[in-house]
Amino acid sequence: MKDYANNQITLLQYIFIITGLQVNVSIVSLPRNLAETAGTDGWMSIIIGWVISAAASIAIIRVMKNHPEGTLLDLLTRFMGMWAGKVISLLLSLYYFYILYDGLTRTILITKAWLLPTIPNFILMILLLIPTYAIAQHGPSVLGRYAELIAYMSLWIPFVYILTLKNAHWLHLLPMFKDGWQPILSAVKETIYPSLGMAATFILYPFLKHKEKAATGILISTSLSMVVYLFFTVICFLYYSPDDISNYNDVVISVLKSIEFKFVERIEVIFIAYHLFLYSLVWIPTMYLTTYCTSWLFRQSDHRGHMTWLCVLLAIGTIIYSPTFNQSDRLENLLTWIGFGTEYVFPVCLAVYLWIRKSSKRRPAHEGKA
Amino acid sequence: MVDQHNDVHNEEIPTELVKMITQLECVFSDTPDLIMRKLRIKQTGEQAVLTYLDGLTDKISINQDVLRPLLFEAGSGEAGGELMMTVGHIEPQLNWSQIKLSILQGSSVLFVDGRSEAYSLDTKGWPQRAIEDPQLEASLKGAHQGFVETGEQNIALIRRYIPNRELKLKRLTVGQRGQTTVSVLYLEDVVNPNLLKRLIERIQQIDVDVIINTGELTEFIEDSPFSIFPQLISTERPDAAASQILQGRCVIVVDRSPSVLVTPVSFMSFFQNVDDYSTRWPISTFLRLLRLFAFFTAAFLPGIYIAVISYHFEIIPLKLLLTLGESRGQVPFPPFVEAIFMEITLEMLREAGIRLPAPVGQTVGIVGGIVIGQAVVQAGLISNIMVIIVSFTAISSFILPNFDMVAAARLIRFMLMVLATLFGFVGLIIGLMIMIGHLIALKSLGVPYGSPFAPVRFTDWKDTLVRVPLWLMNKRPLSTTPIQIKRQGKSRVGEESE
Amino acid sequence: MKARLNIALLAAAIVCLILKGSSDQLNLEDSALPLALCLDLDQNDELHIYTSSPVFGKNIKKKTHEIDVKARALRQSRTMQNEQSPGFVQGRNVQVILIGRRMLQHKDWFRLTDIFFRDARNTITDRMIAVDGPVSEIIYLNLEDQPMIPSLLRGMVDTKSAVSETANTTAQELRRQFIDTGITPSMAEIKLKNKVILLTGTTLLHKNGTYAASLGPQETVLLSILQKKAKPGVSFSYLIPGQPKSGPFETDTLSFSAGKIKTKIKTSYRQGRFQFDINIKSAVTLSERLFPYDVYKNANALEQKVAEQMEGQFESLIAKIQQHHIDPIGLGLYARSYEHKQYKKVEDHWADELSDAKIKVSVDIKIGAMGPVK
Repeated sequence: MKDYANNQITLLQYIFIITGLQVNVSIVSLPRNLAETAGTDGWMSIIIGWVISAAASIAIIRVMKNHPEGTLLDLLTRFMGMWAGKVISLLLSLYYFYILYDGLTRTILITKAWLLPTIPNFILMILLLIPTYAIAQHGPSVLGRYAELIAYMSLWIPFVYILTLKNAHWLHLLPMFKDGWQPILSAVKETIYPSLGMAATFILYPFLKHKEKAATGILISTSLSMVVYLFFTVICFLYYSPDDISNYNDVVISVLKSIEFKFVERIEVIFIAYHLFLYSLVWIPTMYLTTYCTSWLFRQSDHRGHMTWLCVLLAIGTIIYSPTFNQSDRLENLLTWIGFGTEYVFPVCLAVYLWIRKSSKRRPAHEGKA
Repeated sequence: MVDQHNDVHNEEIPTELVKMITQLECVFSDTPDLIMRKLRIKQTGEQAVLTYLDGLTDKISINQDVLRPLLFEAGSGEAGGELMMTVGHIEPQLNWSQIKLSILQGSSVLFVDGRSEAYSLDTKGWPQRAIEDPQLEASLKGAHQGFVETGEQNIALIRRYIPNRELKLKRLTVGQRGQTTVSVLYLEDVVNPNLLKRLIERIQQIDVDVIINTGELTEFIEDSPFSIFPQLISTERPDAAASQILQGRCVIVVDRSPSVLVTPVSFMSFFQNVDDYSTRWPISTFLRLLRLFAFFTAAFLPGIYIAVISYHFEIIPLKLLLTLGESRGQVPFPPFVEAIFMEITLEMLREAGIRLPAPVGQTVGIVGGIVIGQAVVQAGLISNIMVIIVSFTAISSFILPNFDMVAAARLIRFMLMVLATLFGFVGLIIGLMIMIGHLIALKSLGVPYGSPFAPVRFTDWKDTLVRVPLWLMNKRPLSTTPIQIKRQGKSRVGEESE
Repeated sequence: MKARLNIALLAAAIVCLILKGSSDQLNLEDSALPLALCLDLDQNDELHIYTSSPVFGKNIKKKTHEIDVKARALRQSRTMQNEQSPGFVQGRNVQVILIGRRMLQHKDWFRLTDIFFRDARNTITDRMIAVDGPVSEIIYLNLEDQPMIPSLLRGMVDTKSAVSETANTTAQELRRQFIDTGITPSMAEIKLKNKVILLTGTTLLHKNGTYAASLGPQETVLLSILQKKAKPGVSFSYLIPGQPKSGPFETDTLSFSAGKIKTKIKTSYRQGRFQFDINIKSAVTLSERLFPYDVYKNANALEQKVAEQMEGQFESLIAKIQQHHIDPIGLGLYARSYEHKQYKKVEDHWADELSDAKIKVSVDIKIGAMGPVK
């Protein structure tokens, strides 16, 4: 139904799309969330969370291997019938839309808080939707190029954060395991929301140029995200007093304010504006993924019509309603659990189901194609 | 184009000379510069008419190589025998349309009484310019020959650089009225056949009256006609064209146009220059980076000024803040108006400078110097920082080698100024995002325009931001998807062992 | 059809953007930018907020515009300041924040500074300075031969803190010192004497924000060594006992500048109290020696004497700290990291606990160079 060959993405592009979906607005409050539950031991939760999400990502690839020339929707149609595909495509499009909406509203809230306090929400939404539509309409290969380019363009960000180490207090990290394992384990929950995004594989898999390396790719991208999270979390822990860190909403941005340059004052304004590029890595791909699912549902070959209407819907929807900071936090909490179901539980169950089905089919020995 | 003489269009030529002359007069009515010279061929004893357009033909050639042998040299004396003329290229023509075309293109046509074919003689010779130094793309170390208005000569100039039988040429005719010859030059064993096919198809699809210039052709064959970025490079340097062919690109030579088109190209191609390869590589690397910086300066600087002054003045260092505040305090306009006023003045000065004859152009320079200079500041119209910004953008746009790209940067500048006025740095970042999104989705002849950055092709980076030494660039750029990737062997073998 | 729809939508979007954008626009010249923000109480304990903003204009002689308002809180004072200033008052470029001594006699004044952190556009790297005396004297001091007061003060703090002679406490850092249980606040201190502004050293505060003690420049250097903040180049000078004095001249003076200073702090908990063993190591360069001495042969003895002098100074500094029940060094951070359990029990009154602790300082000085003369 779709032209997979003309829209191929390379392994590196795939890695950056997934990493971009994981590392975006979610990183802004991650250190605070971790610190609230586990104090300065929170960084260890990231590593545990990484192990879990790596396992889930492998399950996703396992599932997709069953039908390498199609998306999850094609796969479900093949193994479970038409209606399973339709239902899942609806659910999946809603899920992607949830991530998209969360990403956009968070970006708007952050931009309003830090740069443009009085601008109407829907204006900012329209402003963000223009580049989103311009990029997402071209499909996976352009998404891949965008993610890749932004990844390389953003390489300087860690160096800026290293500047904050001037005021670092390494003592904050000690002692490790202050309150044992329990808080660390319960903080793992906080790492689920930032790890969401692996589900893009469900749709992007057939576009991959080298499908045999998909598992490596997704492992690299989850590891890359883990390294990024670890870096930012540790930076924030080092800078802010453990007694104070939970008082900041957007820790990762707040920490930038301490940077002082000799020739430019308040350089953080530019950095915060630049962060829009990072945040865009979540809404742009999910915009495509959402409309891919809906256009699959309605058997349309072109997703652009749906995308136009989605943009209109978002713009008008924002005029009517846009979440406050607390509501957005609640949306995020809900997304954590929905995402856990979609990206961790669902693929594992599906992988097990497909495996049982396959091994039971093998005995009667027909339809042996994998 | 409607031909009133459709009836004679494909008709065979009449054998009787008288009929022929009437038909000729009918076809070329109101064409006083059509010369019809009646003569008797001494070689065969037949009556004949030599027809040509005065001015498009080489008179000496007609006199010496056509008329003299026909009139004075003895031959077999038999009617219908071979005609001896000292013209290089004689082509028998059988139908009217071809005869008409060859007359209009400057050949002279010889009609002989009693023969059913006419002879078109290559006596072309129109007013022509000598080969000169390229005007727009001056080079310090490159060759000093630029393309001229004759397609054949331009092709010859390129062939001089690539005397290789793989250099092929596809000749197409575009424009019903103009019948412009468009030639596509390429290396057959290098260029990707799909690209070539796509290009030829696009040129063949053009249905217009006439193509006057390469610029017009560009509009018909580029991938995204609504984009503000140029998607084909036009060059007037044969050496540049040749080196592009060697990189696996196609060169389009349009007859009567003093520049040729290169396709497919990427964004970075517009920052390259022939001189890059003849200066030392660290220097040309530096120049490349400088140009890229200049592009972004030219596009972004006024926008950044507006964003800083009207949204984010906290980033200005204290000492500058005081002087800037003092200067801005006297200006009655908001920053956007101030910036747009100055930028438009600059653009007008630039346009005036291009079109005006040199002696008047100097006056423009002086007037502009006074206006952009201290006067506006002293009058309290513009802040002095704005003057610096305008001069900086002007200088930045001057160092870019490609005029089309400069034009794009100028347009982007104005859009970014609006965005910066509306949203400050957020607007600038969104503008950059749209620009990046556009660049990575853009294609030139179906090949990604953003290459080698989007998609990333590391092997191509050798000739983009940095220019590595030539003996390390052993591959042709992948962005042109050549079928022969290897460009050269190892020239400095044993470099390490020495 | 589809293309036309898209163009129509895009046009609508652009119209919206142009109509509704630029709502946050505020041009530089339309705003008043206080460079100094001062908080003080007057005789009747009423809160005064002073600001000093630069005036943009060529023909105006006085370069700054001072505003004094009585207010309950900082943000609330903004409206009153706006009444008096030519533009909208913005807190984005504040360089220094001055706190009067009378403020420091009351606890919890720090809560007033919430606006610095809550309004994202405010700067948080402005230097905090305590004024020994009323703030109004300093803010209305219009010096002819000096740059405007805010940049003068900022420059003073920045340069002096580079040689550790005062505390370079930004608003953010002060917040950390207030909120972190393991440290008590300290900030730069200035004083007006005969119409000259003097940077006298560091003000130490109790955990609740009240004034505890002041440190002179030399003591501040010692404090910053203990805080591991001292940069190479801090200088000391001592009167070496046993060296001859000649008339009114103190010829027994020895001065040196320290190279890289290594401070090691060992934390332990013994017999119901915390114990800190602080070891300071440095290689120094002699910069002044007013008495004859053979440094070649007897370097060790001289090093010993200097070390003793320094240890004495450290001890008196620590005694001062313990006496006032404060912890500007941040020893609580060490206690938290190395004796977590014990610390957790006392973290709410750490400074009191510290006054009970045993703190030992040992100094190792090596004379690394003595300059071009012997």
